[in-house]
Amino acid sequence: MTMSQEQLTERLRLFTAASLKWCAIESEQATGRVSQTVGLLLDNATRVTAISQESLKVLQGLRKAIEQQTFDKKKAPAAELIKSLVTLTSEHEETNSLIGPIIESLQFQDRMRQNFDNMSRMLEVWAQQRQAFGAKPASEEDLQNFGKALMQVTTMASEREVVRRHISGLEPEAAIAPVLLF
Amino acid sequence: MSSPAQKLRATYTLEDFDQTFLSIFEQLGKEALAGAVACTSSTMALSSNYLERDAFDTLRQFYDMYFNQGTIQSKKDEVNAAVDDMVSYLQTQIAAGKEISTDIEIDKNDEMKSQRLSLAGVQKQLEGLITLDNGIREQLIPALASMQFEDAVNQRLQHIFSVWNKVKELVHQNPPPRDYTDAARTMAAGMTSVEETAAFYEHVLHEKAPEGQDQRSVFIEF
Repeated sequence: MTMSQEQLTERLRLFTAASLKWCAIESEQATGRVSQTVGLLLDNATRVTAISQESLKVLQGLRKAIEQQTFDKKKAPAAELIKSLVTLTSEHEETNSLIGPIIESLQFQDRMRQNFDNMSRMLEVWAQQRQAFGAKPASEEDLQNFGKALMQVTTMASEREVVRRHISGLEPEAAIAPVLLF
Repeated sequence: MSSPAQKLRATYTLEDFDQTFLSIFEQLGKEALAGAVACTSSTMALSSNYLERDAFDTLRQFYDMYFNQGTIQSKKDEVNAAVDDMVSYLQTQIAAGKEISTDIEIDKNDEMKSQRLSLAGVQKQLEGLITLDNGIREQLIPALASMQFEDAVNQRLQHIFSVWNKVKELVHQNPPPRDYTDAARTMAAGMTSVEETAAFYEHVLHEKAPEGQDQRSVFIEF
């Protein structure tokens, strides 16, 4: 049984999607590790670092919030949890140095998961466009349309910036209008 | 009217198109990997709050040794493959009822031997860390798990980029192969973990991974 070029590329696309999905699932486990770390921090805080009772309470609440997010995925997306953590740090300045790395870790984990999901979608866009082009050369406009199609499956400005760096003539990111209070 | 040179610049062959996409794809993968590195870094920063100084220093040293020694990291897959070859050689010799030579080909290569021994050293250091008293072991787990995740993601992405670059080379060669089965089997040999190898065989070759090839794991059980 021979394997044609089309069969190989389609099968590799499915394999790549499975691999990226594995990476995305593993990156979600990172939230569990953060929760574990907060637990260890609580268990050892009084021994190794000087943390006030108030901060300990904040950390306990934080651990609960992360665990809830880890085990009940439908409830709060990572972005929501990050938002509430940012509020928490602004209310309890002392915990900044402790919660800062937690927020960072959760933010990176969330971005990573999106990266993997979007890479998989981009691969699909590429496979479709590749078929549409066939053997005929693509024009500048074709390439730009491809760039637009890739950007449509992204969720982050940094991803769109990568596409712009490789395909010229794509529109820059729309500037966010400043919020004027007065 | 545009010159032929300008016209040429305004059109793209399928190879140009593939190359453009693969460059974008690789760049996005690198950004995702940077996220994994940052996650480990944050976990290390958190661990420093509760780990004793000595334990944290050992952990940091282990991390540096595991990831920052380029020679070890870049040669890991090669060493894994060479060890597989060595196992396969021994199995063949045993099956044929022949004597096992201690001077087998793999260790004739001094560089490979030293890499294999360096990796054994890394492994020993890891074992030393996780067999410490239970309390410290528990404290080290999140950081070690984070390092393993970073390593596993790195491997997965490198394999993805490697197979797609190979495909690009093959489909644009003149004439392209009529059958890609052998190329796919060569790619399968480059996979290193249980799930990855099994997924490659299932999706690409539509068969089960051969005995032994689906039993390697990137994760060490703590």
